[in-house]
Amino acid sequence: MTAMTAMTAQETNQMETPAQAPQKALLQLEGVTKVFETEEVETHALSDVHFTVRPGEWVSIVGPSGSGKTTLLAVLGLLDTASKGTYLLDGRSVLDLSPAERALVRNQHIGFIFQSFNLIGDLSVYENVELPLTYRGMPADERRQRVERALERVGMGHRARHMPGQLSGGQQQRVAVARAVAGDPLILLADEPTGNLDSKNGEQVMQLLSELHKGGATLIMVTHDPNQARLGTRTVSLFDGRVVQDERIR
Amino acid sequence: MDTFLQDARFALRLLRKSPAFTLAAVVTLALGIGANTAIFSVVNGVLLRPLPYQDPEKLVFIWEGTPTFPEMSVSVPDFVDWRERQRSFTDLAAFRTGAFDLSGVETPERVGARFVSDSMLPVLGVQPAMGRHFSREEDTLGGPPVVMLSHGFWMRRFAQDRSILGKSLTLDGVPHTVVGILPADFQFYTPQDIYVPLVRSGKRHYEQRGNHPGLYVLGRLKSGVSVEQARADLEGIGQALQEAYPDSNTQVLPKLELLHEQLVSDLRPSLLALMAAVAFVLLIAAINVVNLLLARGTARQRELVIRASLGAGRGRLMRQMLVESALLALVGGGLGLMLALWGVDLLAASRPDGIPASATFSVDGKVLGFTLVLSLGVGVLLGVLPALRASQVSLVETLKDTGAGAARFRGRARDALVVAEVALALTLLVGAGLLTRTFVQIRGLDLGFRPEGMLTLRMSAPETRFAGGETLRNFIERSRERMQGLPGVSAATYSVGMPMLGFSDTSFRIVGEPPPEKGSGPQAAYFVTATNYFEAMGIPLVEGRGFQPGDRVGSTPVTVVDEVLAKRFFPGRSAVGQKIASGNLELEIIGVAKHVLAYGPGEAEPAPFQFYRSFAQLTDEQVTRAGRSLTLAVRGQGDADALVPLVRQEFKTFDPDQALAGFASMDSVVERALGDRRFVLGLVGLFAALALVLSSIGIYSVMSYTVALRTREMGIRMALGARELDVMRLVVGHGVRLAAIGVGVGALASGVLTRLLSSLLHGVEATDPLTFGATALLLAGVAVLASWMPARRAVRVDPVQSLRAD
Repeated sequence: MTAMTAMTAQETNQMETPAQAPQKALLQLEGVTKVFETEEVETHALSDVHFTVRPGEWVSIVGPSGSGKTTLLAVLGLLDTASKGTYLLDGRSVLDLSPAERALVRNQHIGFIFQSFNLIGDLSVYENVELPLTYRGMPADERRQRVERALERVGMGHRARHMPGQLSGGQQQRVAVARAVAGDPLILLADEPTGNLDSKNGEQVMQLLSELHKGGATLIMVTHDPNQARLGTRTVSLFDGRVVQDERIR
Repeated sequence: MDTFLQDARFALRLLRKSPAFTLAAVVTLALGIGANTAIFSVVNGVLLRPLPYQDPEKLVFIWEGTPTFPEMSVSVPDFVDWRERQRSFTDLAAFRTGAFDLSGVETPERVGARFVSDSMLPVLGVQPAMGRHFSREEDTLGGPPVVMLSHGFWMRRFAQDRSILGKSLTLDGVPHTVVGILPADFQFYTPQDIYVPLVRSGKRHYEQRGNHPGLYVLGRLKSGVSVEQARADLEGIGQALQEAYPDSNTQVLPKLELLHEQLVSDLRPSLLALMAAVAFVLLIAAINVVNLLLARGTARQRELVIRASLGAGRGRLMRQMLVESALLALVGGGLGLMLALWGVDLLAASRPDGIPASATFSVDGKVLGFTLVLSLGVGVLLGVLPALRASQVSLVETLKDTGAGAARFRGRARDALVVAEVALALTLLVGAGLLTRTFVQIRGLDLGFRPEGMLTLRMSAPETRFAGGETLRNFIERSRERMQGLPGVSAATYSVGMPMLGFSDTSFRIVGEPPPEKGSGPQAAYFVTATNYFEAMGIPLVEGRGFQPGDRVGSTPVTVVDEVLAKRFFPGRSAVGQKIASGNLELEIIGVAKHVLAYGPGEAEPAPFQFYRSFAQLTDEQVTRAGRSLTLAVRGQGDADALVPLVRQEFKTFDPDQALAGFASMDSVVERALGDRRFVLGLVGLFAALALVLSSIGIYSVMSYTVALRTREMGIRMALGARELDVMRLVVGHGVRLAAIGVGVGALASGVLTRLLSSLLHGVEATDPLTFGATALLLAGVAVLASWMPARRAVRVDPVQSLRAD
């Protein structure tokens, strides 16, 4: 885990462009299957998914409703476990980790951006962004610096003391992005990040994600919007839990 | 009115629609309101209900006192003078307690008697059920002996035979004509079998102004005369008597207060403590229901929005909520009333001796009114928060489904309610803890004698059977020897005066020291005992010796004093060989005995010192005065009650005419002395336990509800890397934080409120840190447990599911 953390810092400092990205896989799924079992029915949400993401890529996952996009994102984000297959994150198998180890990996290496922002209403903007760093046990001074930097990065520094309820949807999603990047994760996972926003706010958030990507961030984004999908470097199409197309855009 | 009925109908429909919620709320409220109603019925019966006499607010209780001994009974000559000279009362009446041997019947019996002046029943405004009350002539020295029977005694001994009127009963060998039967519902202090004119208590009482023979006086105020005016009137007479009789009356003044006050003033602190305890239980119960209502209100948010969007104003929405809560409280109150009816019976069955016989526990109009007002009050209390919440419904926020402002309001309100609940429970538990520690302390007190295996009984020796001192002395000593010889009996003794069963007190002085001012001498409990009294009672002698056969009439008058007297008056030196004097009699101290808790464990001791005389040193004349009624104590090897048939049989054998009464094991006497405390402690303990259970449920339900509301938040936190431990810490920490604030607030409140319990405490400070600390720990433990269970659910939150639940 120490090696991963070191690499994260190195990548951030180098600010590599996608063209310069190293070819080593950052994330690799091999034959991943996810089966939901009820009393009578087995539902294959993901079937034999093979999927590799390299550092600096922006992968858009598209597909119709029920195709397994969100399940794939949950497995990638270690929010859920695969029923079968292997999952290597930065070269390390992460499928058999204990809940506590998974929480640690999530905290240190993955940043989430949700459709419905998922800010905690009782915490201020500052506290929301600070929360994952608190779980990391980071000293207060360092936390403050990182939170301030992340909020400035998304243009929300002036709203640090506000409560989420006092912000517009677009502003809330910017705070959610700040929270996702504050810990310098290996990878950002975004689940329809503009789904709850009007077009103007949606464009601003996509602009923000583009800037992050240009700054070297690796992004995996679930989206329904083909225009947004085209902003990424690669599009992966799912249908019935299988990868049916994997297209490099640029 | 129409809209009100509409609200009520809708509220009823809602209650029917959510039976689990309705049941939980109604049962919780019923417990709280029922407990309050039951305790209020006691408070009503004792403190509020007028005494069962005519115009009871005009009745005053009168006694005598000096600066050093403020509560003395009244001397008979003083009473006679007051009655003649006073101008403030329609009349005065006096009473004292005694006993007679009823003979000339198949089973002789020692019967309890009340000596009363002829004015007694008229002053109380009570008419006999049959016959008449005493005439002035019958209460005059030399008057004809007459008797009135209590209704209970008339039923028990004479099967309500109406022809008993005019017949004669032999009491202490003297025929007494039955002139009246008291009403069935007549209650006056401890019930007695018969009433006889005061004059029958003996001529000597009329001759000795310095003798205060357990006589107390009642007065009925004339119209327009206040208690203060009557007090001034009597004090004026008292001062005149001081001047006229300096030997007996120096510093002695009459004192008075309303009869009702005299009867209940000692009970007031206990009853108010009980009322406070039970009010706390109701508040905690109400808080739990408010929490339920708030939780339910969240689910009703959309309904309220629709009502508001259709034009319902804030007032209308608030009223809707208040009608619902009032209805809930009224249903709870109705069920509570039923619980209270059952509780009142239980309370009546366990009523302690300290509660006056005139007080009855029942659900009357006042209690019903109390329950109704209480229920409506609780209804409003329950409705305030949900009504406020309803009035803050934001159409925009709710329709946008963010509702952040309202959620924060509800969250803060719930937290504040938990804090209040914990604070209330802590206060109640601290009170119960202090009373428990007091009880334990008192139970652990050294009584100064050994009560185990000891049977006591009252024995009388009327003049008609034992005219002279010598025959009386012989009979008493023979009785003791016969008891001593019974199989299984290790010792038998007798005494005029017995711990916790009644004794005289008297002033005394130290011989050789300047005499104290008249009326201000120290007071001592005074016992006249058999020679073997100390050994038989198990009273250790800490110095010198007890009585011996050589201490007889004619030898140096001797006494044994208690260690308190010895230490107070002979500090740093031996009391043995010193002398005290009581009246004109000087007594040489031959021994120092351990102090005996004569008034009962934990009770105040108006006469703080004790001294003993040997019965064998009484002159014949003194024996005929003091020895007519005494207590026999027989110690067996095991159960004292098992001795009763043996003792009865033995007396039947050697003196079949001897009336015996008042059989009681000393253990039961001690237990009875603790009865008032046990009653209060039992109830406060019960309420404290109820408070603990209710507040645990409260904390648990709030934390459970909070976890349910925060499922999504838990998912977010877990997605951001929170471990199980972080989530557990979050939930349990929240519960513990609230409990800690509640404990802090409760400790502050307890620090103030428990001072009100001071008069009920013994051997423990109202701010006892052990009790406070243990209670705080207990509540903290409960809070951890009550939060831990919901916390376990929180860590099982599936982040995928919770984040998906939009």
